[in-house]
Amino acid sequence: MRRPSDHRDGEPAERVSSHLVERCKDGDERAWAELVEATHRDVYTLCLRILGDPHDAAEATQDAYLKAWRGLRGFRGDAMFETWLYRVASNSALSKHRGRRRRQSHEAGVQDEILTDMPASGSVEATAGARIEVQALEAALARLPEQHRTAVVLRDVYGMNIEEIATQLGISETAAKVRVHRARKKLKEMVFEGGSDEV
Amino acid sequence: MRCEEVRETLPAYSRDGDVGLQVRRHLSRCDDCNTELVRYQTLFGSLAELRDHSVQPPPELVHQLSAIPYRRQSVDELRGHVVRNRNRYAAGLAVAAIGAGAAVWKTRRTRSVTA
Repeated sequence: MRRPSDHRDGEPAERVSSHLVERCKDGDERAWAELVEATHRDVYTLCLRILGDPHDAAEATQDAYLKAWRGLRGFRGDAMFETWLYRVASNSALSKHRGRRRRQSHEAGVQDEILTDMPASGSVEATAGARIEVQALEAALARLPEQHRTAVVLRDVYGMNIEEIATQLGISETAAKVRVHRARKKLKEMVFEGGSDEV
Repeated sequence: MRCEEVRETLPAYSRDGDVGLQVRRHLSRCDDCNTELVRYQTLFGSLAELRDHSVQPPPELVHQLSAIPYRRQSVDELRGHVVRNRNRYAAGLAVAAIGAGAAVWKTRRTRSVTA
């Protein structure tokens, strides 16, 4: 019998030192530029994974950094700065998601573009220690229904716990657990068995 | 336990190791369920690695984000200027309102005299 992997909720790699955060708190604009340079790709990517649209992701990223700048004095350093920033960013992305009218045609275009790189159905072999191609996984995530995609991205890519996800999504913890569970099953089917994106 | 029941527990098991003894027993003798377990393990390992793969944002984004303190500063400066000079702005608005009222009154009076 195979044992479960040792994967646990890991903290993101530390790219922002506490000294840099303190300089930002003091209003040092050069320190802020350094902080932005070190983190903006990851924050943009998180927003893109949730929203599935580059334009919306850029807007959500701007909103996240504006909130981060304004709320920086409230950051006490209990968690890593990157973890705090991810929470702010996912909150911005989800707010945008709730507020926008879905631009279906544009999103479909972007997703079609991603899907061209997706391997043939069921082409991924499951062997111990194997890894799924990044593009294939991103494409499968993009095909998940939005609610499921958001839940599994926050839980299994960014390591948020169920309580945080429930708060961010404005749903009960039970509902958050169900969403994560269904999303994982669907994603596994899509990657390994060529399952359809209908849930 | 039946395979269907065991498979419902596999996502949580492979992610968090959260499973009962019966499931472990079943897995110790069921190759099909073990294959499923490996699939979930592969999936979770790959999902966790996605965090290290970032997408290149639009080039102008980094400049816009870096400029946030300056934007904030200009808004604060404007707000401070308005607050400091609120009496002058209020007086200016009052004069403008009186002037506009007078102009309207004069126009109406001229029209009524002509009629």
